[in-house]
Amino acid sequence: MSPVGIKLNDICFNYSNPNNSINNSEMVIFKDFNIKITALKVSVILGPSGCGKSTLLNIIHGILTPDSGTVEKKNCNAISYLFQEPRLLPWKTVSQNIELILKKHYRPQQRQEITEHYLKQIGLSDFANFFPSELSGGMRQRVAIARAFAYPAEIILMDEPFQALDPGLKLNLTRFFSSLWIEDNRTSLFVTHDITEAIFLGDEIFVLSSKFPSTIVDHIINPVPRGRRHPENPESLKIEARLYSLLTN
Amino acid sequence: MKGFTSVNEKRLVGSKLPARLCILRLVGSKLPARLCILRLVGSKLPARLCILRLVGLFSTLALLLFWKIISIKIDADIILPPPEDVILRLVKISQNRKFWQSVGNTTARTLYGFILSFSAGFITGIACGSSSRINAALSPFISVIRTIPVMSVILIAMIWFKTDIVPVFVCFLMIFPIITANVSQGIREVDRSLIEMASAFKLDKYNILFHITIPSTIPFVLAGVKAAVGVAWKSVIAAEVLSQPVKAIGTGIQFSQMNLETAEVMAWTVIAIILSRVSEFVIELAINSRKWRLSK
Repeated sequence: MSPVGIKLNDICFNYSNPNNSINNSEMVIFKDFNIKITALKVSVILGPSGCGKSTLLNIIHGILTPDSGTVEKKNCNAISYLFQEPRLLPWKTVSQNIELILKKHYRPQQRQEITEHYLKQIGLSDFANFFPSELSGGMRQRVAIARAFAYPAEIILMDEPFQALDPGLKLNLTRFFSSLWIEDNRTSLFVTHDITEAIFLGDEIFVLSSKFPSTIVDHIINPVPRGRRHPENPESLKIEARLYSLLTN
Repeated sequence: MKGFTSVNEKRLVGSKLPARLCILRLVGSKLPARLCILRLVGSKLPARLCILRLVGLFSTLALLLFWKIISIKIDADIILPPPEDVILRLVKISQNRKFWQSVGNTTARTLYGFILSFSAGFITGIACGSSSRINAALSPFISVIRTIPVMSVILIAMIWFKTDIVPVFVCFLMIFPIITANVSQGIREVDRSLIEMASAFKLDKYNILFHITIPSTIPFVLAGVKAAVGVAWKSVIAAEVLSQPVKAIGTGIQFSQMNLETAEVMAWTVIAIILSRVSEFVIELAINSRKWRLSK
């Protein structure tokens, strides 16, 4: 049994609708929700849009506090985040963007070395002194991936980071992510509604229900090892069919 | 016969073209004639911009012509001197050392007032933009300052301060609301998603302020500075006219007016316009610089 990286115990979370304060209506997003995320693996949370996936990430990160229940993060000092958009500072160059978030953790010399290392990994060494506006959308998201890995965190949370990109670019970026991850294992939690992405990246896949309160309707352990995952793999096709039927029902 | 040779000489430049086109070809190698004329006006600018420049040039010439005609009609230099008189007077007064001291003093006052007001307005703007309570507490004062007539400020300042401080104070008070409003708007419109990113990576407040909040206000600050520069010159010179410090553009205007030297009043005014335009131009250069365009 692999060690647990993140554990949520009996989480309850209600979302009060600010537009409907008269009725004081509350939506129950999670009720006695439990999940165990394996350490040093990529876990995917798959579910339709608006099923509470991002809320779950925010609860794990600590941006949102659950109404009841506990969040256990084993051996965790810091959490890294990869957003849907790159969220780079437009007035800072690529390397300055990465160095800024390392400020609290390393000395200038180390910061520079780490930044150079990760930029090399994503193939953007030549663009270190470029501004984000001079890069393409895919390159910007690559910088964001480098930033997430450069940050000295034990856990990386990812909120549909490849959603806004075209299919070719998406596949490319998932490869970049995979290669970085193989070199530098972190407990990673990846939220998406894209089945192909889930099969390609996830060592474990949790499927969330489409109705509130959210529950885990299935938990699949990906039998295909990383490196052999491609769209034509029969095992992958089998999981794909299972996930499709779960999401359409 | 002579005409024939000159046509031939022109042919040397552009082989079989008509003489008129050949002359134009001298200007812009193989461009069409119309473009060559435009190139004469604005060196390497695109044709459309050249046309606009020409339009601007013609309207300026038309204005000068109109001025000249009216001055001839009126025929009284004390009411409206012709434009060339104003230019000659400008050349004449600029040969005096006192003139350059006046320009220097007025420029220094404008700079002092501007820098003081900018610093105060920037800090107040950050405070107002980040806290709605501070904004609510200060906005009545700021709106009073914004609406108070310049003349009232000058006259009150003349009771309180020495003559050479009055223009600085007036400049300070006139620009302060402009800078404050722009900075606080910039702070309020900072991209929330970037702040969210910064807090996800546990960046502290100091780093968020200096690396995210303040840089994101820069476009608003530059817009504010551009709007404030013109106001700064105008308010300093207006204050100088009334408070009469030794050697100043405003004092020069007032002195010439008392002596009924209309051409000299206008010459001083031309200097004020030039100074104001030059400073606006410098700020525009900063706004259009490559780094700012890229980092937007």
